[in-house]
Amino acid sequence: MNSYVGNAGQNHWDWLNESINAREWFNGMFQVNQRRTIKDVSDGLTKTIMAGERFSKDDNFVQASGMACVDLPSCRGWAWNNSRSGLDLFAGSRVPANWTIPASGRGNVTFNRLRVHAFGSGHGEISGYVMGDGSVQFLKLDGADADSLDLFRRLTNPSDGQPVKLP
Amino acid sequence: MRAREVIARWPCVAVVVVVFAVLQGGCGRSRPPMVPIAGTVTLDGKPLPKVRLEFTPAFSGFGSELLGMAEAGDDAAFRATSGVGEGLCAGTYKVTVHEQPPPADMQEYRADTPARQKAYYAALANRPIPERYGSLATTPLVVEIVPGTTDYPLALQR
Repeated sequence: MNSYVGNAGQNHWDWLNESINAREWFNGMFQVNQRRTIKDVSDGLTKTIMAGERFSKDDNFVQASGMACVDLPSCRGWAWNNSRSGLDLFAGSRVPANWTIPASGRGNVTFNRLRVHAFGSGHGEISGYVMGDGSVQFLKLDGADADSLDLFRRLTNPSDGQPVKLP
Repeated sequence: MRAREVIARWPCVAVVVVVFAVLQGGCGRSRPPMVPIAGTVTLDGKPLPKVRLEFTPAFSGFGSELLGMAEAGDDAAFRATSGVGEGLCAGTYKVTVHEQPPPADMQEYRADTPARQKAYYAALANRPIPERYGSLATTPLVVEIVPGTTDYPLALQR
């Protein structure tokens, strides 16, 4: 399974790949059938996440109707081998890094999809990210409040025009 | 001898009981109290069904398990849940409003998927959701969750 995934922005949901307004919702760096050039990263390459870690342990991830895979590791194949390849390749800032499914969300397909596309790590609160300039940053992006979640989303958005300061 | 051993273990048992009680306490000792949340979503006074709501704490000092989610049904009614159980911890939250995923049979990578998804979203009542409700930076929707109050109607405006 794939533990390093591209930044697909705030709206990384793979079901959106095929939606008609793809250009409007795409606000990350990588997505199926979309592309970004250096010119598009107007916030600066050092302030934009290219890719990051993903952690595949979540006790509340159980099979949900509407999803073929039975658990989190099997929902996340190696590159392009899933029937829904977005599951293998992308994460985003819809939920904070290291977000886990609440007990009340067990078996809920929406929560499962959010979890598959969450950045995170198995080594404490920080996780590793490759920024657009090739530098590696270990950041605590737990999104514990509106300000920090907004910061995370600004870091995943290459052209929101908002200033960011790395935590 | 045996009775003395039992007495000697009592402090240990007491510690285990206290730790267990704290872990089981929903929002826990240091977090604000948990409040069960329900309500309906309206846009310009009319029901706004089938939306996904995200409640992000406007206060800091706790973990992302306080983040709340809710999915409104066909009747635009919702119940919020967070990482600490059914409901939200008391406090002020920013609320963002999003579309839910389309039904499972409209998520396949097929040539007609874009058209089917477009038709599905177009057929939902009271659309589109105004764009400013989709971002934490721009959403005007802020709710104050207060212990004892469980009904939180969300009124959006175009």
